[in-house]
Amino acid sequence: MSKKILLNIKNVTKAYKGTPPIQALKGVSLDIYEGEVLSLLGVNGAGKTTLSSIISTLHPATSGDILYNGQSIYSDVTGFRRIIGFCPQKPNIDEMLTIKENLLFAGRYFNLPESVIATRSIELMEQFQLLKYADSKGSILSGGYKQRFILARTLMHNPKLVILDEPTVALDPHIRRNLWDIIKSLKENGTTVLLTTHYIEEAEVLSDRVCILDKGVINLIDTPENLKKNFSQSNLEDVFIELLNEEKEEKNL
Amino acid sequence: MNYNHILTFANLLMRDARVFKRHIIGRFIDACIWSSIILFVSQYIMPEFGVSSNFGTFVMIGNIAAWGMLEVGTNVSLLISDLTGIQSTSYYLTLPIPQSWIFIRIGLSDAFKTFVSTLPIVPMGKIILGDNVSLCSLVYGKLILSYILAHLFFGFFGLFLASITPALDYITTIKLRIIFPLWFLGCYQFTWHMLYKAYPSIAYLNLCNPIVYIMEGMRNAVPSEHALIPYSICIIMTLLFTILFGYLGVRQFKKRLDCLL
Repeated sequence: MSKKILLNIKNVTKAYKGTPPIQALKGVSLDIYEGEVLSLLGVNGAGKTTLSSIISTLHPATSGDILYNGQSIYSDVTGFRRIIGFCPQKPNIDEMLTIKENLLFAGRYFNLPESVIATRSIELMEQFQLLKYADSKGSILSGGYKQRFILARTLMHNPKLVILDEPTVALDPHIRRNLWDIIKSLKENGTTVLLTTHYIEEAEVLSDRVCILDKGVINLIDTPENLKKNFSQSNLEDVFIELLNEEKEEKNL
Repeated sequence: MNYNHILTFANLLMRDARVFKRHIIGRFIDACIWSSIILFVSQYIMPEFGVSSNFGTFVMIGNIAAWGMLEVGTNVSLLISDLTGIQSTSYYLTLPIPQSWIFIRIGLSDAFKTFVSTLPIVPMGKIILGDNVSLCSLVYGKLILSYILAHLFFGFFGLFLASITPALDYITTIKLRIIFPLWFLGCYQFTWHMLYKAYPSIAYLNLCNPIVYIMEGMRNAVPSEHALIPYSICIIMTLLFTILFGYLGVRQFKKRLDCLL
């Protein structure tokens, strides 16, 4: 695996106003390497979605910085967006357009040439088994197909970094496995993937490294193999549970 | 701002135009039914109750602005249902374009849609009113400018209202507490000078109502025996209100959706 750093996340914090104010991220620092699949794991409220939405520049960080090629992404946000693809948790498909039109416009928004858009949209519809729905409105798709479409749309402009925010949540197991294959093929093509997930098994199967977030801080970050070895467990789920138990014990002391 | 941003922005507008094209006939039919019924009642029934025999002609131009206000309510509902439903706006906010532009695009698209939807109102008025109205006597230069500005106002006013509407449950409140009073007191069935003669203090208060300038601006394009607010003031005030609500709408949305600065 290449060890060239793609993104350098430096001491990122995120606070939401409220009573009481919520500190969703408390100084997260993390390097994302080129070509790796990095999974963000954590219980609800750990800060996974907040972190991925900050990296995708959907929302700003309260403090801290993210460097791409040594430069802050905030010095050229729109330029940075051209190299990333963000696949949100909720399939925010444009239901007024057909699947084909959705993909065509996704390419146009990134100013791709029309010839590339035409070829790429057909490739993606084939890859994601969406061809039969090409002329259908997005609203008629089932949850699994919507998720597939969102992933296809995310890949339309060939992003270097794909950010997947819980892409398999509430999907049937066979569709989930299908999406796993797609994520594996992304990795094989050298695309960097930041995967936010609830499913520990998913993180174990797909990731080069796993980052466990807890209450806005990074608890652990390592390869699944090292984590299992260090915790003397046979699978990542047991590592995760042991970590939670350790935390409970610390609280009780 | 760079060329790529402009291209992305243009493609977003093209997307909106493509979607709107599918609904255009339906919108024309809606506008025709609505305006023709109002004109028929105003011109042929209301005079039986002592209203001026030319009341339909007077109301015809005001119908354009009135329909615009109805569309504002629809546009607010659509935007709020998206924000609380499929959230397609959050996808647009990740495109390679400044996030403010996404909101400006919403205002412009809504302005365009409302503009096109109201196009049949004047021809429909001619059909209903017949010889009571002469299309040749309209001052088209004035009408077109006030028409365009009015719809830009409606687009950005809708954006502003959506930015302060927390959820779909509040749409009726927004319609009844904001849209309806502005429209009904906005010189739709009377001129500002008529109101001034009857209730000067209310007339002065009504100068804060942007719809007054839109209605009076459009009426300036029709030969009229009624005194009107000068056209230039109507145009300047409509423009200022458009900028104000556009600015507030974009700012409030950026805050609400936690956008980048």
